[in-house]
Amino acid sequence: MSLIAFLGAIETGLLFGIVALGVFISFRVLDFPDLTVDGSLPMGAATSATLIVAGVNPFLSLLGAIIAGALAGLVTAWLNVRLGILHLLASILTMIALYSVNLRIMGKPNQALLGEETVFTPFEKLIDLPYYWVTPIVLFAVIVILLVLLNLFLSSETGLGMRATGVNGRMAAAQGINTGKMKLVGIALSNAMVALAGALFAQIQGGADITMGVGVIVVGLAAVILGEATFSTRTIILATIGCVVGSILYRVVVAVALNADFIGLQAQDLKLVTAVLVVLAMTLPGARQKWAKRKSVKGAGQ
Amino acid sequence: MIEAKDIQVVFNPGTAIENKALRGMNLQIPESQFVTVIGSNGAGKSTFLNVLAGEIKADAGSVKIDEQDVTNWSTARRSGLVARVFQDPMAGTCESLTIEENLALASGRGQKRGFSHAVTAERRDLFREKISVLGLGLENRLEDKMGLLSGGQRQAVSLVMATLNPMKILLLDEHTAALDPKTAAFVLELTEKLVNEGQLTTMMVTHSMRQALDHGQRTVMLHEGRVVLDVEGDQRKNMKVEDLLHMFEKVRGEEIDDDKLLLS
Amino acid sequence: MFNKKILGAFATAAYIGVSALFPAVAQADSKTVKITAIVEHPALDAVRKGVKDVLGENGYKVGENLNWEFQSAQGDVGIAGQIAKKFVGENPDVIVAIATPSAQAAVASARGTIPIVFSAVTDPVAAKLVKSWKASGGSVTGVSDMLPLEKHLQLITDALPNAKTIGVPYNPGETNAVVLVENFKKIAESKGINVVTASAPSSGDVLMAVRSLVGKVDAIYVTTDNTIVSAFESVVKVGIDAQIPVFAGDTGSVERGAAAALGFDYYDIGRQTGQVVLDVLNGKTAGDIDVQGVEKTNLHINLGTAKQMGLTFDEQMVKKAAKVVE
Repeated sequence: MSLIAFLGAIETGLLFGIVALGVFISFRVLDFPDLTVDGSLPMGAATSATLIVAGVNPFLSLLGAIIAGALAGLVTAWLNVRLGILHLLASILTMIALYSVNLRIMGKPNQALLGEETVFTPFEKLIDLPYYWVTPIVLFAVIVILLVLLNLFLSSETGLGMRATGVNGRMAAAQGINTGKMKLVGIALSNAMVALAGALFAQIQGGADITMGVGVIVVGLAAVILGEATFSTRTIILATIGCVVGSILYRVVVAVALNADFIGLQAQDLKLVTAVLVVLAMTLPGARQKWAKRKSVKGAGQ
Repeated sequence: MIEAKDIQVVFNPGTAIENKALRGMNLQIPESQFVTVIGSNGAGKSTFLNVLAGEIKADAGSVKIDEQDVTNWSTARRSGLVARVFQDPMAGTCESLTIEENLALASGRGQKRGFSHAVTAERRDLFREKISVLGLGLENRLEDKMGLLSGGQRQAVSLVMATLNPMKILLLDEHTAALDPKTAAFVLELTEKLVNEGQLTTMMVTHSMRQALDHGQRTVMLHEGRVVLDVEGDQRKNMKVEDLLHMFEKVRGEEIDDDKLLLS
Repeated sequence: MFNKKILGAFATAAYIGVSALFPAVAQADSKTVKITAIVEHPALDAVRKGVKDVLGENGYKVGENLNWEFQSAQGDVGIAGQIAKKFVGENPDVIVAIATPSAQAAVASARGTIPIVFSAVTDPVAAKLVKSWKASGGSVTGVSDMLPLEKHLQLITDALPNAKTIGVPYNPGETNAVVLVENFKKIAESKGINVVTASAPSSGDVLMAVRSLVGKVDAIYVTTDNTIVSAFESVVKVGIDAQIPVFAGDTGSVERGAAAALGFDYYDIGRQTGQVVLDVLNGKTAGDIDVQGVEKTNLHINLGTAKQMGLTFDEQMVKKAAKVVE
């Protein structure tokens, strides 16, 4: 594949790595299946695009997206914590509502950003490399910052309390942790991150579209799980890095699948090929372990 | 001083499966007293412990800790006053977190949690010190996940966790019930040690009459949601299980037929 | 069993290695056209066929002097982005992008380095693909599937000279529909006709939306809104029950009961697009080519349902029709 396609996979992988981190917080840390992300990603995109077109500084538009995402997350968590609605259902309700909200924000289903100044524009001027290098570099820096902040948080007293809430809520309460508050904060944080990814995505892709959110939760989960299968999860730091690795791996697999035509596969087969490659990627480390075990057992028997 | 006054708890009121778990529980536990609580199944001992812990709300009556009325306080709110060891070693700890992380959680009980690092070098030293007392070698395994420990080891660590920070009452919820006799003995010994060292006000719920008499200074027996026997001091000192049984029959005019209670 | 897995893993690694080393090999003296659509859909597929046919008719044969590659984004905007990057990296002579999200991704990735011809984009200016419909320099041009709304309005006023209000059901979540309705409203109002809209976010909402127009409108007009079209029978039912003539923006709906429609074929749009691609391949700069709108329209009439809706067409109109359904 070409360098641009490869860098494109890295770029998209890093971007959805932000989504994967958000999904990690809700699914893994808080054990809270959260489908709100299907609505908060386009919400971030819509907010950022609308603000930029209205003349707001692109960096400030990111802030707007983050706040919007946090609010969306708060609604879902509030429905669950205060009204006692099942978490999965609460997130679906918010996701559905966000469809209308996002349409309202943009005033239409698609807000184009081609030709507008984005957060990447100043870096493109600053860094003396072609744009297809600049975007992944900037995203890499963003991911590193987010990883550092997230890990500092999760290893803090409050962060540890949030982790305990997801692992054993009853015990956490007995230690004085306000589990309801932890859920509100955690789900808000998770969706704020996803909305940030949405905003960056719109700026890279050239526009915010109402259909952007379909399937985001699946992509996010695939990244988290792929990361767990191929990367270590011994510590929280490694687990979070694994999410980003999983996301990049997934996108590289898609890029490879896009090139599968020379062995007779066609465009329609893309998703099938992607799925097969993902399965291979997940079973490879397991196969390696089994082989090593087999070898040692054989040796022990002799 | 812990004061439970006229506690009533009814499960599923007004239905075919209505269960009056507590029918006017009254108990006062003075500071530094170690009281054991026994009773057959359905006597209400777990319910009562959960009311004290804040996990079950009393339908009537009040709970006061040092004159503070905590009846309507949530578990988290009263956690600064109440320390607890659960019956199930898994319920009382976070399996997928490390030993030191569990200890760090416990050392936040009763305090405001901020954004400072949870497991600092300072804290690690403290934890190592406290854990080495157990004599299990766990102080060298602080970074292991809690789930790797056996039930007995976990209960031992849970005890250390519960006693890291001060409390007004230590609740032990049949904390050796899930352990084999040898390990149970080890944990009980540890319990005595920690309670004596700290002069901790303690309430231990147990299924075993033996245990109830062998530990603490006072034994309370519950039956059908109320206190039916309350022995301490000289009266209790030389009591044997049969004596307790006779007392019960006298008071209630019925025999106890709960094997677990009698034989363990 | 694990041996097969290891074998499979090695095969994958080898394949990845090979595909990394050997990008799509272009033959000398041949042109490369990379084409993508946001999703596979009869209309968008017809566009693609139109492009391919025109190229074929003009001497470009796949495998001989034409490298042709098609990728579908399968409805995923993220994949659309990766496809765009893949295409750009392969430096084709032209990229053809069908539908707005794919076109936006292509333009964002190409950054003016590769000619892009879009197709089936309703409002290319709002989508910021081009600055205006007139050639404005740059490297992007294409064919819009914007409905010839003036002609549609004309059709309605010709059939119902006394019509004062037209009802338009639509899905506020479909980009194209929103644009069409807004533009139709402007055109109608400039000619002194009121437009009342009714929103239906999904096909299940269509019946209720159309019912809300009864008593308020003289005619109902349905654009090429996928949601409304998918539930078109509901619209026809209301039209017959309430004696309100229903007009459509696509000819397929006439067979399903619309009184009349002035439609176009996506295949024809594909052919128009193919012509533009041909010009680019033959050396013309994309930015020097005007954006095109729909040229060929066909009038279809359904005399049967028109009568049930209380509408009779005059002889002239019936003669002009390309197809008459009884």
